Amino acid sequence: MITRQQTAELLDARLQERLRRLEACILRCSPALHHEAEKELPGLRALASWIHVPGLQEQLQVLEKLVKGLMLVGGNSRERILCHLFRVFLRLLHPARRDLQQLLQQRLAQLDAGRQAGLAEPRVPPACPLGLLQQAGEFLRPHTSPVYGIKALLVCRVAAIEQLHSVLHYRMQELAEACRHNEWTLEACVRSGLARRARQLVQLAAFAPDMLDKLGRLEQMLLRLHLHGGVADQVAALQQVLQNLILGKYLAEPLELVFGLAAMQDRVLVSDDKTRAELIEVSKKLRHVFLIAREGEEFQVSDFLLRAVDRLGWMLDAVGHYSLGLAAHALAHACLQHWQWRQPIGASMFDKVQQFLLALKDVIDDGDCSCEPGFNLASSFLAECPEHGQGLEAATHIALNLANQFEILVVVRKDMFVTRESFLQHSRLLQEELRLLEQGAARVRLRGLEQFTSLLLDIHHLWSVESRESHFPADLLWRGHQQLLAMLDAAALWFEPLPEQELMQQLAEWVRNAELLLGSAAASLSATALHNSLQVALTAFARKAGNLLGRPVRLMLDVGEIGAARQLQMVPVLTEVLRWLLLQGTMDANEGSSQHRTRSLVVQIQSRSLPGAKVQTLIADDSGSKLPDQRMRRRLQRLFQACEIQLKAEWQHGKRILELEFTA
Amino acid sequence: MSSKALIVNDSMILACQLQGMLALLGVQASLVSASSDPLPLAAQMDLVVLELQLDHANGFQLLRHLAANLSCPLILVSGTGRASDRRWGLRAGASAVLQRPLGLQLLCQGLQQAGCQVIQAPA
Repeated sequence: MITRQQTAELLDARLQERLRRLEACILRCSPALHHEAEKELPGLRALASWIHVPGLQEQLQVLEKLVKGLMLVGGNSRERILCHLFRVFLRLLHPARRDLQQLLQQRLAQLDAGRQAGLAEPRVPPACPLGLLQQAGEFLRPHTSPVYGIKALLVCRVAAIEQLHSVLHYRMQELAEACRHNEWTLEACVRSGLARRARQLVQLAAFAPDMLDKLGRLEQMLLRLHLHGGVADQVAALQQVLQNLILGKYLAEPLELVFGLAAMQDRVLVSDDKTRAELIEVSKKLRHVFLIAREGEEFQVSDFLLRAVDRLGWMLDAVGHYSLGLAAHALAHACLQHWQWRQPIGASMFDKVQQFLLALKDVIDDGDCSCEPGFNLASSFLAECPEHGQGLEAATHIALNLANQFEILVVVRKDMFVTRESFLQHSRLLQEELRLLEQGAARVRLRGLEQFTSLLLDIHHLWSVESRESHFPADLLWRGHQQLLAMLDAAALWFEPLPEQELMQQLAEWVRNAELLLGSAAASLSATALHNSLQVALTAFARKAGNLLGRPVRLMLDVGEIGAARQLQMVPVLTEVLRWLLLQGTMDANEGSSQHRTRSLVVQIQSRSLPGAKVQTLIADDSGSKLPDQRMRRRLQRLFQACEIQLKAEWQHGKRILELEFTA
Repeated sequence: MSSKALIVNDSMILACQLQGMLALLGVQASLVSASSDPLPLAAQMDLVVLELQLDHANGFQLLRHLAANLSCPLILVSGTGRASDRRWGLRAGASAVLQRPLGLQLLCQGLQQAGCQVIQAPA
């Protein structure tokens, strides 16, 4: 009989196989194979439909229509657009597969439950719970917009797929004409919208990769020229470049132009009076807008604000304040997202805008500012985007910035993993970095990175309590950390970091085996000895925590009723719970809520056996404690192999009691 | 004797430009695409200039691979204008990270920062 897991794997493998075939069909770019692709798509859609994933079905329908439409269109651009489409689609599908697997598991569990309850096998498989479907739909919706965008572009310009180059040429002619009559000042540049037009040109050229690079450079040149002011020979050289591009001669820019521009760049400084005046004017207007808005209850983003912030970003870039420019671009992005989703700007965003305006004032007054405020502000602005508007770029940017900000070393050498001693020597440092990365990844919803770091952390953790040298996973850990580096490299290039599935499985397998070994080892030891060792471990932790907090921490322990194996398993869990409690205490102290700060922290751990349930009661008199968050719950759930965790918090005799109930 | 450099870039035009600029600074440069493994060629060079945005590879990963296997200085060139490229590039093992558009002066500074000898300094 095929098990549930095998069925899920089978379906997943079938989906992957179909995708591979589709990819091969489309990427080989031959008309015959495109017809094959056309045949593949309905099958794939049917599969998605069977598993009830409406978002995916929708995407596949759009893709199918596009492929059919493109079959009818001739010309050389067809293949390029198909390839581009498929790449977009693949990017959409990868994260969707995880949701799909979850849905599949859910469906099969329902069927199993039905069978166990003696119900007849339903002819039509029951639908997924509505919440899950909605979640999947919401997750996929922002990703479908590029496909719709491309579709819209194709519908609008179907007759002009072959004419994309003509459109580009037309734009370039327009640009060349504008260049000829431009006064070559920053003010004139902003007024004429030249820079914006150049930006649009680059965006339009997304379908013409051979021109993208050159147009990107052209955009930079334009900006530099505006800054420098009129230099007749440079303008003439630029016009020549444009003319060459219009005529289809995709030649390199003359070297003298490149050198000339570089020399100009060196001379572009904040001392440019016009730029400075413009900066002062815009920052004054912004300050005015935000000061007035602060008095109102809700503040909707206006066109003026969007324009002003966007313009500010350009100017800051132009005068060389790239980090603050980045912050301005991030603010513009966040404002745009609020505007698109019709959401008012909240109080926390206002505070950040104030900080930004202060940093801007420093730039105007002193002409200099360090990089850090700009980066931090950029990250926080991007984090302020409405949840459904947070793009992949924002997420990877924050994760990367987090790594930069906390000076994560991520220096791994193979010799660290060769022996147990060398590993233990470096493990603490690696664990700190992993924990930080896990938090960052969770914060910005990079699930792949979060899962991967969490697995590595588990291995580190299990190995520190496990003492059997024969199971030291040297090679696996080395590969894991190498993979982590590759994922961070991908994030640094603003791609979504995805772990290698095979390696993930191997790591998970090791964790499972190690947990089993740990359980069997514990069973052979006496309960009293373990009770003592548990007490020693926790007391040592309490002492250390007391030193850190600067106040005494007292522990009362009573776990006599649970078995030896469970006691040993409890050490990491309880340490984790205590660490979390103390962290909350420290945070409260740091926030200055002195009325809540207690003179000492008493944590009492008890356990009592109940039929079908394991209960740990933590009593802490720290009134600042909050309930564990979702991540903590998941971790506890995993470590205790529990299906459900219920949390209760109440006051008894002036003490706050946290009760965690693990249902097996 | 002039220094020898290897330019790893998937864009022939950009690579040729850089080659011309390096020649002005007295550095003789060869070109190679990232689609083939540049390590054997790079091992014979005094300097490697690597483009971050590559068609066939992740620039940071390639940089890390080269840094782990070579002793010569590595210069990373980025065209995005993002400051994070610089920080991550230096951490991945680059001796210097340069942002486009490249000028002679900027390139010269980059080479000096990477510890290379420049015969002819720009005016």
